[in-house]
Amino acid sequence: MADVLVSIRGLKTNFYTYVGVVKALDGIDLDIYRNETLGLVGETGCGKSVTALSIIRLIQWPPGRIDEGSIIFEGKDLLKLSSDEMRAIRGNKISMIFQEPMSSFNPVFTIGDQIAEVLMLHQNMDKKSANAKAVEMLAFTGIPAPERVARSYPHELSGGMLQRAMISMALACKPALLIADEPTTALDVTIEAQILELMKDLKAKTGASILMITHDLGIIAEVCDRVGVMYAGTIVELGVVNDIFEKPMHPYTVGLIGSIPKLNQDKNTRLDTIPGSVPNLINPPQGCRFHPRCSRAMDICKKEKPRMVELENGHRIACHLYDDRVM
Amino acid sequence: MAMAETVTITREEKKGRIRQWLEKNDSRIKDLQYSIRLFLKSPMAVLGLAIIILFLLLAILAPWITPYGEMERNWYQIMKPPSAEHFFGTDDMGGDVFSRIIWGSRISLYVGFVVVVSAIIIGSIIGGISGYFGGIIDEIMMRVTDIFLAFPSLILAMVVCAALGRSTENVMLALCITWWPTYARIIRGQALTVREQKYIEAARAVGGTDLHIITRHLLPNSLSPVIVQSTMDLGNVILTAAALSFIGFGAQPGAAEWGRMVSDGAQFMMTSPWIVTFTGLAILLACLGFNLFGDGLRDIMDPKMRR
Amino acid sequence: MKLRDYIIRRLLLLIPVLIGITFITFFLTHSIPGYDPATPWLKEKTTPAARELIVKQHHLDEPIVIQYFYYLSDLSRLDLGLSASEGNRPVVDALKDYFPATLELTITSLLICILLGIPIGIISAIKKDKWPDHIVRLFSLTGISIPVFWFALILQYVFYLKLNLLPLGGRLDIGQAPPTFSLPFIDVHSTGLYILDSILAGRLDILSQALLHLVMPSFCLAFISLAVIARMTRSSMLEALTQDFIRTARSKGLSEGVVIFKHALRNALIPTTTVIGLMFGGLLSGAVLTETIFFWPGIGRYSTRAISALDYSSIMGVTLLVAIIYVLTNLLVDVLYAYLDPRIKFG
Repeated sequence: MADVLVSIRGLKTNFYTYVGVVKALDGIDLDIYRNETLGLVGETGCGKSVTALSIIRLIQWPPGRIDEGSIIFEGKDLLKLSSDEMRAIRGNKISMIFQEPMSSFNPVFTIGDQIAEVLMLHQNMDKKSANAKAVEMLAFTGIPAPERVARSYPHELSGGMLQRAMISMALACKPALLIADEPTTALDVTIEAQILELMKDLKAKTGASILMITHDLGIIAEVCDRVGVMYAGTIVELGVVNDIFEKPMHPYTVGLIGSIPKLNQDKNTRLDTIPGSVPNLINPPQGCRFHPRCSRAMDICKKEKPRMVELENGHRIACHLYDDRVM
Repeated sequence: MAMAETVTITREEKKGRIRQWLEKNDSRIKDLQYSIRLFLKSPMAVLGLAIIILFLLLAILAPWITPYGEMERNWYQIMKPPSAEHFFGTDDMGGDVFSRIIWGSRISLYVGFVVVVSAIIIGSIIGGISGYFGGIIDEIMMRVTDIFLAFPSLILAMVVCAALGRSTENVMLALCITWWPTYARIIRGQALTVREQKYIEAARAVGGTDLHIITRHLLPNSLSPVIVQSTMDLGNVILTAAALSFIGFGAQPGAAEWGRMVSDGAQFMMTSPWIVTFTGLAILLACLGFNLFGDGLRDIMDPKMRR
Repeated sequence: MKLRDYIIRRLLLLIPVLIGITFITFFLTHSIPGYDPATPWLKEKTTPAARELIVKQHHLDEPIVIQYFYYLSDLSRLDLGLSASEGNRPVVDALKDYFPATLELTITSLLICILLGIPIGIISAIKKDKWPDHIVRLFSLTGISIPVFWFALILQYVFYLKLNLLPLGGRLDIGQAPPTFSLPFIDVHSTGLYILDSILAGRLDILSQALLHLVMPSFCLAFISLAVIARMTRSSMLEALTQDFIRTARSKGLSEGVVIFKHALRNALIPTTTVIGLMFGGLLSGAVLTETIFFWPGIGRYSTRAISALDYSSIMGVTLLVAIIYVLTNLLVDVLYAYLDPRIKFG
């Protein structure tokens, strides 16, 4: 049984806007183990980024607020920590990298300065050693001529280099958890492959866990050990990657996997799609949030939210169809 | 000789046309409605509009609402402090300050309007041609604009007035000369961006001429920054015109023009401060109204504010 | 292109602009209908014969274009002519006398603007839509709507007449001679900047006088620009705070103070600095009104008198000086901008 690094229970995050309260996360339960790559996959707007930001507590108020739940990390509930205590963890024990490396760096400071900044803050290094370590970190992520890159400004580097630099910055203080929010979405396919390889490599070398947020099932298959499928603010299915891909059980997951075009498909077969569209989270459907689009919806699905049930091999599912108590 | 048949448009046909027009412009009308609702949400912007309307009304209705005439003098009532007969007191020639301020609003609003409209027209022509055609024409026109901008505007205006004579008309002329470069810059900037848009290529592909493109595409798209700038400039022009009159380059001594009134009353500031105070407040309020309104307009046109 | 080349190129571009300005001013001042161009030099007793001499001496009977070229050739020898409104003393001398006064006033105003305006703008941005923000917005909008001349009069009324705290005008108390200093190796005894001069002369009493006299005029002049800078800082701070790199900075665990004052501010200052630079020119313009009301012996007042008397040599001289300053400040601002923002290249 692997070690649990982060334990999330009942996480509810809401956004209070002019037009109503957006119930972005509706009670997320999730465990992240040590040295694993856990993927969170889902359509745009399903809440995967919000989950990531909630863990690191970067939800800005206004308009967002984490209203309920607990996130246990190293024996402490992150949601109950003071701002100062949380800041000691960010960039240090838990780091995050973002989607657009081009705009995620401050344009008026050099790369080296920005990496050194996090080292001086959390590791109490002086400027000289921090700068040296920054160069080391850049080399660590496979950047050629790291001294030159350290002296460069963000606009002078390509997207791929910048993403590597971001990873260097995030790993500089040897965090236990690296949250990657769609890190390759803004990059070319070839660069994407390199970055994913890099991440796998680094995870092995540093022993960190990675929470990989993406909408791309291909990335999940490539990089992740386990994956959680999210829909409309809830986790509908969670399990080892192979299990999810080969034996999807939740109707949404089935639809998702089924909609991937296959190379050996007859070119005349229509692609399977999931009818309907993602619900408005200000007024989400009652009961199971997926029921209006579910071909196997039952009466109870309209009234009660399904609870998370554990099947074999750590495969979990939130669906009344698989709930013993219901069926 | 047979009478030419007159074609009359029946009422039904008219209604049909109106309905057609409404349908065609439906999205623009919805946009407008949304903009108005957004505008009304900001109390400061609405206040600005209210002030502008107030001054407009004062200016238009001046002959009927002023208790005293514009040049009316009462030599028995010189330098009297505010009272029931004279709300803002009287000046050194017995004129009622309150009435003269209302009369002055006519001149100020008139000057402001004329200058801004002229500046827009001149600036648009120069900026539009410059930005649209680019190249040498652009370079030359921009150098010219730079020269005008490099001129200390107040001094330029003063020189024009000194040369041509001190009057409100010359103040307007002088201010037109100093104000058009700003609009030329704005329009040119817009022209440069619009020029690169795909729909210009498309318009050309279906045979649009340069003039057509300038009028149908360039100008409407430059509208919003020009509107914001011109609203705030209205206030600034009123300020500058008053400043010019204050130092003696505008309206004649004794005229009921705000700047001149402050300058005439300045010598008596220490003993009879009401003349300067109330007149200056009028200038301040008028300018503030335009600035608040312009600021509100700028906010609603900001794409980030629009949902 | 390197920085040095860029600066040289810009300085060279200064020449056509200046020529353009002198051209326009010259023609404007010399095209007054029905006006006798010899007027500045005429006195009551001038006989027609003497007048002829004057006309010949100043080439007033020749075509305008020729006169313009005479002017340009004088200019190249730094001869700006004689100031008719100043009793015929050389324009260059008059400028040397009056410019430091305006410079001192303008610099003080600029300092007030920056030291007050930027913090106000930052606070306004941080507390967006709360009451400090609303107050600052109202204050800014009022600031740009206030007539400078009226504000000056009100200030005089309140602080001089009613509260008796500040002097009415002028640079020093009546009867006080300007400070002079003597330093080894330097043959200059005063710069015209009284603050500097009184410090160098070790006369703290004159220093406090000069400072007191400086308060009202510089505050008056600064008020409007202060409002503009506060607004500018506010909007550029808000813009900066919405950028992605702010989220990155927070994710690194940096304190909110560092995020705002290091990461956001450094970016927000870029557009603000350019505005400040350009404002310098505007301040010189606004000085005209302020100097008149506070009896400040600067080029604002000088130019007003010169224009009234149609003393073209002085008008040309002042315009030229102001234009040069404007162009130089523009250059300085562009260079500063490039220094602050590494994305700018001089290509």
